[in-house]
Amino acid sequence: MTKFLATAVLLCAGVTVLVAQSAPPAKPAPANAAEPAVSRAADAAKYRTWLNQNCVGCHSNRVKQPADDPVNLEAANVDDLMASAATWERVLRKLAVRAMPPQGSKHPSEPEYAAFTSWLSTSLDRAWAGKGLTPGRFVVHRLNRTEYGNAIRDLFAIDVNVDELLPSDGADFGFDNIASALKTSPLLLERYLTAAQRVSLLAVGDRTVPPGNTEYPISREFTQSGYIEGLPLGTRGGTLVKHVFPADGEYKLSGRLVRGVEEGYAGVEGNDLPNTFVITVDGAEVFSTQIGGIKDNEVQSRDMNEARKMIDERMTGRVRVTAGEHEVGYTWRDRPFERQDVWQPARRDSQEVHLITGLPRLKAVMVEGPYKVTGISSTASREKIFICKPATAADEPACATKILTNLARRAYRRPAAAADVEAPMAFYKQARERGGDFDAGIRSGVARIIASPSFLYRVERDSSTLRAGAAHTVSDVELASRLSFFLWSSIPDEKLLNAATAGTLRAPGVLEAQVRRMVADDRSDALVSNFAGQWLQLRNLESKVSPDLLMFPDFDDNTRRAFRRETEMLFGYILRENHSVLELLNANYTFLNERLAKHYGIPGVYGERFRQVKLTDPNRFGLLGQGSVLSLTAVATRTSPVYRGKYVLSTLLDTPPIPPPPNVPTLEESNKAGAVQAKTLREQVEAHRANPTCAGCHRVIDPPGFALEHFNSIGQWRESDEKGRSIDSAGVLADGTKVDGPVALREAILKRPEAFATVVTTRLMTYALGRGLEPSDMPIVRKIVKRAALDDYRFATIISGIVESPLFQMRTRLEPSDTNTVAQSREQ
Amino acid sequence: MMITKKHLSRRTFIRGTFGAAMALPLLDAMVPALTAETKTAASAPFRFGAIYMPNGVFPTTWHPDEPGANFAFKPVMQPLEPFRDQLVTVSKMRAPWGASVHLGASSAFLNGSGPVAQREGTSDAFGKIQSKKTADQYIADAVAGDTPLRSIELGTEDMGTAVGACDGFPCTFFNTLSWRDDQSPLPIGINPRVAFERMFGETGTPEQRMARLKERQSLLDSVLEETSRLRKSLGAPDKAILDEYLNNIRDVEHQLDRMETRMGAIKTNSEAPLGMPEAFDDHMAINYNLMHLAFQGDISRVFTFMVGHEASDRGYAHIGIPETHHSISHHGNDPEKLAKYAKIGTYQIVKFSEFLDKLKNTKDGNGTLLDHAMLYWGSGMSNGNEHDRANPPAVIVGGAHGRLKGNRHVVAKDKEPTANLLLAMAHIAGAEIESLGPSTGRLDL
Repeated sequence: MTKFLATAVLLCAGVTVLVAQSAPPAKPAPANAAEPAVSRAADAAKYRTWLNQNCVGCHSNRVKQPADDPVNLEAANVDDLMASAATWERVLRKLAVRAMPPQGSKHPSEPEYAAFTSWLSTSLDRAWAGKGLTPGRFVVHRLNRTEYGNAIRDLFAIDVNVDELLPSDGADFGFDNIASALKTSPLLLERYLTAAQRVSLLAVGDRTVPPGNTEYPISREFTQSGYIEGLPLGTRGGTLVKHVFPADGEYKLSGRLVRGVEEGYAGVEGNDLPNTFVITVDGAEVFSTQIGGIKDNEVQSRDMNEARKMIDERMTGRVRVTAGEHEVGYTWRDRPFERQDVWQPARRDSQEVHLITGLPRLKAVMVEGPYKVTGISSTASREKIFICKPATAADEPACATKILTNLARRAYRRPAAAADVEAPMAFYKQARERGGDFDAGIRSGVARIIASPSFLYRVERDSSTLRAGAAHTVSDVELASRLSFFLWSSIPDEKLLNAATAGTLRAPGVLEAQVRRMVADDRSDALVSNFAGQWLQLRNLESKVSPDLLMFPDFDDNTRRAFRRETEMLFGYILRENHSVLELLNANYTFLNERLAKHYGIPGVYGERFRQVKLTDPNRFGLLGQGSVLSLTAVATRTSPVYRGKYVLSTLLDTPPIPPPPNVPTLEESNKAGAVQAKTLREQVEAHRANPTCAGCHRVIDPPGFALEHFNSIGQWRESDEKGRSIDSAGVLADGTKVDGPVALREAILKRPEAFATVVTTRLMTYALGRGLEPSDMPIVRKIVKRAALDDYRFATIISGIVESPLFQMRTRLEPSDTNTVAQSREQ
Repeated sequence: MMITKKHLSRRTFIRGTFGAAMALPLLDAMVPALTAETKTAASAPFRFGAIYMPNGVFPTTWHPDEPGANFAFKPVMQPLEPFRDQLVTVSKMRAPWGASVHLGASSAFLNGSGPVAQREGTSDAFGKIQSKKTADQYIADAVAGDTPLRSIELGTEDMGTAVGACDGFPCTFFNTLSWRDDQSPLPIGINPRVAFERMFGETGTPEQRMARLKERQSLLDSVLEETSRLRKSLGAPDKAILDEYLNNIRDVEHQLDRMETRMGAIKTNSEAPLGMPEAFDDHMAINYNLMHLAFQGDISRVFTFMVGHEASDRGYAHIGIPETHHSISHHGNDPEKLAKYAKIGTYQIVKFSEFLDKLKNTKDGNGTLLDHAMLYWGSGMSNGNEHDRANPPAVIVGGAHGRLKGNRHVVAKDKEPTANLLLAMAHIAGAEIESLGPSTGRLDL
């Protein structure tokens, strides 16, 4: 953390300091300017020759280039690098990992590579510095649905299910917070209205709300034969949900049983022995009932449908709950001795025979109500909203103004002007005129605030005196939002907003201290789940990872969740403890619970709780040894060296292979049917590569994938494949390095730590800015990486580098032609 | 292993015996009110629906051998035989490449274009979300009239939440078939509860629902005013974004106004689906049920439905295919995989035929809903193994107000673009479009 302090000094000196330094630090800027033009021209001529020798053989228009992705290094200008800046940045990315020229062609020597890349990056940096500040194009930025949900949480202390409230957002550049991809549609607008009404109602509470029904489904693949974290000790299975109750009243809380795989079996499972079903609210038992046993069995053998109805009814508790958010648990009293009778061929309990024996499991839980409403208790949301309470009717308008002004300030993330409160107050008054009480008026005003474009859009302003194309520093208040949406995916809190409105955010040490505070805060979990979740594709675990259940009977939803948790915890730990980002690849520790430890074959870890575990097997170190990454890159029935290779190249090295051309034969096709069975996967892939159309790319894609072949498709170590043939994990990477397993692959990547750190910084910068990076941004990215290199690439140094950079601190006044998202007028 | 396998087969048996015992919201409570509504309509309106299946259908399992009338149905299309008299199937067309292997197949399905801009890394970072207005939207212009929802876009899986999977394009292109105009995709909704609420409002008494609707209208009015004010103070690019937002506000305003006039007819809406169905089969059924209701109640006359997104990783375990649809489509000419590939297509056609059956059995003015509808079912490729754009499946069912003669297998001119079929369908629906993407003229239907 002391490193953080050291870098803060740069800040007060202003962003210009950083910019001036984007030229090589060894030479001060004036010296650069005085450098004789002849020597630059000589360099350019020298590297032109070098390019001609090493690259132009393929990269010219004399050789067929992919139609939608051509690279012509003969035409790319070395005297005026800016003219082909995007191409040169691509060249740098490829050469940073020495991925070109391809294997089989002559590779330049390491000093030659170093000299060329150093010349190219330095020359690009110098060219851009000469052009002046270009902080890029920022446009009004709509909150995506995750940010919307987090903002609601921070404003009103309630968790709402945004996935149901709002449609998903468009993503681009790998992230769903990219301003230019966040479009609107009638569907979205409608749902914003629904959300405003629903959220305001839940936050304020409503005694007139009609009974509603909410269902929380439980994945069929979620194993419920053991204790579930969060539920009271001594229970088995079930689930815990956070539910916002709109009023004090009676609610029907109920559970529905799994009735058989694919719902085919209409009777009640686990009905042969009595089991106690328990419902808890905030940890306290509020309802219990018994199902199963002789009597239930008699009914079931007479009429399955009758038994089902009877048991559904019995598993419904009518319970009084107060308004506000509560944790409701639905579970079973555990009687471990009964479990001994249960035949469990696999850890996944959905593999069991589901007839009347076995343990009953929940497939969904429900909350229905309220009935018999008695009022609205004080709730965390109401405490946040009702910062005053009118003593008399005469006090009401003033108190309403105070309440709505306070909420508008937080929701709009800036001081609320009188005009900002006019519309919410009009809604307050309208509701009162229609006979609503004070609460109803406030509810309507709250709905108006969260339907406002000032809440839904992040708007930054240019001074009208500025000419188009000119860059300027954003205001403290705007900077506060940039920070909070970067680190928290949410609105600024009071402390940050206060610092911004007081104008002290950029005072010495303040910004640095705010960043440190924000990273330490729980809300930075959003950086883990949103940034890492998208960069590393952890978000796809639910939708993409579905191993064949015959081949992997132990794999269940619990394992899938544990995979995600492990990687998120590793990322979060490195972030919060300010370790080097290189540890993402080489950490000799990880985070496990008993389930996951067993999955990996690591002894000595007991219980549901995740904890840090030191790893002894270097194959398991870092992301490349984690179930999340390894299962995301496999298919249902086997591993996929191609997917794994593609993941390494795209996600970790930022050198994605180009997509396959039209009408390519698949693996199976290039190995005629019948022969497939006899071959190992490696032989099949190699046969595919025998096709010259495929070879060019697969020679690069496959080796990193094969290096991970010792991990099966759910991330377990193996010595032989599904058919008992031994694994061959050897291969040659694009840079010529021979690898033969995860350790060698990891070491090969970390041989050039700045390349990996550049990828992390590039991805983080894209996410932080909410826009795709352009060539003009890259000098600043390189600068941040260089500075981080002096500090072992610590996470905080990269984050502070981003936050202090002109890209994050400034914006450009755009020209009218800067966007082509001009909406067309519509005829109705 | 053996033991587990045995259990699986037993499960299949059990399902076969008791499989029908499912509790789906039947949505029947909505019907009386809606029927009352449509009876008052002067004449039956024209309805259009487009259903998209990803990953293609193997041509020989789909296209009939003989052209013209009374053709013999091939296995995958077979379940549509009962509708022969109102069915036209088209072969030998060419589907557009649409800029990308899979993404292009669905995103160009209804406009022949797909993404207009280049993929990431080869183009500017801005304004990449551009395509072309789609045929369904031209048709909505012509037929939507005063229906509360101009069109409905449905799906069963959401690509918006996936990452790193969109061929380098914004994932928006994967997530819809439908573009309101060149810059405005209309994303699919996958949650039936949301579709239900759009159609019928949230649950509550009629008074409560009307009060909520009134508040929504005031909110929109007020937000419109605020946005216009905000817009004035911004630069041109920001203005353009807010203009799009304003356009959508106005759309929803019209929608709510039209909804208001219908509100009285809907006495109860207690049967709302609870949320996302876990079983895919239920999800399919509920979505089709909702579209049936939308037609029946004249809530919307146009819909698009993606039964899955392109390159879908969905497995079809409920019909005995645990492998993903995408991996099965890369069958490598393995007979077992080809059979599964056909089975998935057939399953989808059965679901479609169940929907058609409902339309056929619902009175609408002087005929049935099916008499007054035109449903287009197709895919963006034929043989998924090669992402082959030649000879994709395309079948049109419905009386289309007598404007479509059924019982025909139309063989297109060789490699005639599917966009020509879109022009022809738009023409039948009364929407005149001069051209669409690569179209060369109206296909002779």
